[in-house]
Amino acid sequence: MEANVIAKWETQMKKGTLDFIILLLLKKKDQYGYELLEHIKSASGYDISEGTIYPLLNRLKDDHLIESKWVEMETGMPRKYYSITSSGQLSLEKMTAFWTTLSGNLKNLI
Amino acid sequence: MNKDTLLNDQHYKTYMKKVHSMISRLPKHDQADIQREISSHIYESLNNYPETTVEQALENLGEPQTYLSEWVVTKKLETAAGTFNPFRIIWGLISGIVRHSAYAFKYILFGLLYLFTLAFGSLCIVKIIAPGHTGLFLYQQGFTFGFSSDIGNGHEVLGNKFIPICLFITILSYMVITVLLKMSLSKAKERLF
Repeated sequence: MEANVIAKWETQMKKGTLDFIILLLLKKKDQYGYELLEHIKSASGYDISEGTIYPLLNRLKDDHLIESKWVEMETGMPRKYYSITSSGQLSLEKMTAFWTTLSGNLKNLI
Repeated sequence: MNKDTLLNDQHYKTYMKKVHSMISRLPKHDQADIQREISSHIYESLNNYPETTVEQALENLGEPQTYLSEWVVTKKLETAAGTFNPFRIIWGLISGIVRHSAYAFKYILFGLLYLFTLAFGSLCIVKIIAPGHTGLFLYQQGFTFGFSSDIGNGHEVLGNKFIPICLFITILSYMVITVLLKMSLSKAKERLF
């Protein structure tokens, strides 16, 4: 029962923070899907199913927070690079401010 | 692994066929984009970890049904709702009911609302076929809007204005339901993960 509650809570936390993590990573540099996925895993420790990142990236694109472009590679297959938009930068600033306040408050509480 | 070896791999081909069957109803541009991105992901996965087999890479990516189904249904319906094309919307709702069981109840509800709107709109045709029995009938106690086989001592008050009023309400209702559908889809997208 308790494990179930924790699992649900963890899923909600992942859902709530993935947008934020993706925007933070894209702020550093433009990245293609697989690269971004690797960085999400190493930065957050989240064990996410690889395929699920693409619907998420598409939603962020539909919300105009990120954009993408195909880049042909000299060898191998073309890569679709994602970058943060100016609207995404603004949202990220607000998310960062919110997160800083929240984590500060929670730290006091814990 | 080089590109040609991957493109000729049997596991890869089978997987991409499954992907194609999932996305075949989307616009051609979206189909090509999704297929290209999935191929690129598999290729990068194999080249970042050379010891990985194609089967393992596909397993890590997950079954197309698990990560594409919900997104494809939402995308298709969203595109259809954006065009306000009733045939595309109905087809999208049917796909949603069949492929996306978690939201089947919601899609059935929207389907019923559209059906109600269609029934309301069909009153315009009924008015042409049976003008004496169709309209807004006022009685001593209450009223009837629509078709009534027994009008008794009711008095029809809309006359020739019945069809334009009926059409107006039908179009308004169709627009409102479609806007509600679009809002509901954008909420569904937020839950995609």
